[in-house]
Amino acid sequence: MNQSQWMILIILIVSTSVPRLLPLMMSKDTLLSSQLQHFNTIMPAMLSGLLVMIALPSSFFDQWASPELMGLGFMICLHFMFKKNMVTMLGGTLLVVILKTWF
Amino acid sequence: MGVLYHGTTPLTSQSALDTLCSMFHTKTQKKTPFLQLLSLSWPTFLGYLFFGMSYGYLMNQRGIPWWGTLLFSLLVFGGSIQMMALAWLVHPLPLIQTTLIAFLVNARHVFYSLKRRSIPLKSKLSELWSFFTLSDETFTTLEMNPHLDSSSILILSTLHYLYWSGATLLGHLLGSRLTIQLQGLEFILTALFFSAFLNQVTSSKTSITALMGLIISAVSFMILPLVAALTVSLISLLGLTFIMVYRRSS
Repeated sequence: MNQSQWMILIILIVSTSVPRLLPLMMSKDTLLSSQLQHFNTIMPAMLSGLLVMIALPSSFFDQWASPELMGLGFMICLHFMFKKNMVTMLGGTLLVVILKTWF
Repeated sequence: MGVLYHGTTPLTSQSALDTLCSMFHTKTQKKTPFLQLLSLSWPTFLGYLFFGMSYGYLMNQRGIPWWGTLLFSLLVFGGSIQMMALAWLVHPLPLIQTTLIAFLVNARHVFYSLKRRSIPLKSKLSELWSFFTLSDETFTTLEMNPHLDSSSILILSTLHYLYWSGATLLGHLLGSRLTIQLQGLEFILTALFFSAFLNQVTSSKTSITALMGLIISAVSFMILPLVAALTVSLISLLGLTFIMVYRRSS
């Protein structure tokens, strides 16, 4: 690896470690505050939608009837029918695999 | 069954695992069997296998040695930023720009760690390890399984870490020799995140906030390029969360 690749590695290590380890430096009093407890309830719910967007392919918004959109729709149906995370995930993925591989 | 040695006594892998669990285990918590942990981690395993192997293959194509690929995965352990940095390895950006983008992309990890900080672990080392290995997928799996005790959390995080590192190395070594006929397998990670989102939507406490998060993120990703969309979404979601917390406390 050349020098610039080593530099990129170091930047990536720092930029991933610092956000992960930053909350370890917070005091116990701060962590037990009611505002932070409420923050910890709201923030994961807010981020769950963002994570879906990050994981979707960039072409998702280019076409309306994409296999991914159908997969998400199918997952909603499965979630309300069975209320089992594994069934929902497996069903949605299987549909996308079938649509993308054979159609 | 694999055999490990602890001092002079040979241990089966199951009893070695129990020893590992007991290092982090508190008496009030109930242990989750290892097989159950494996079953919880299969979506991540499949997703990482697909993305990790693709990443390893692309690193190979860019002339990075196998140990370089492994080093990136072991020390960074951040799929999205590692994928983004693939282009920079060949055409480097100015260092300031690289640093800024890397921090913006990884900023969301602060919130994961903040949430997980409420679970006490026995030693400082195990705490550091569980925070270092806290990825999007680990965080989502833990949110979907809030009953997991501290030792199970550590084992699950370690499994995810090994899946990613192993898959990238495998992808690098096998390279183009492996052809996967099935397309769309990468959707498993979207399915994992969407399933967690559906859980939040169907919960009475978080349904509105989860929907707001999805709408804001979707609009940002629809109109902006990736890094800008991520930054705008994070700032908007953070601002909105602060307003909601402030309104409740006042």
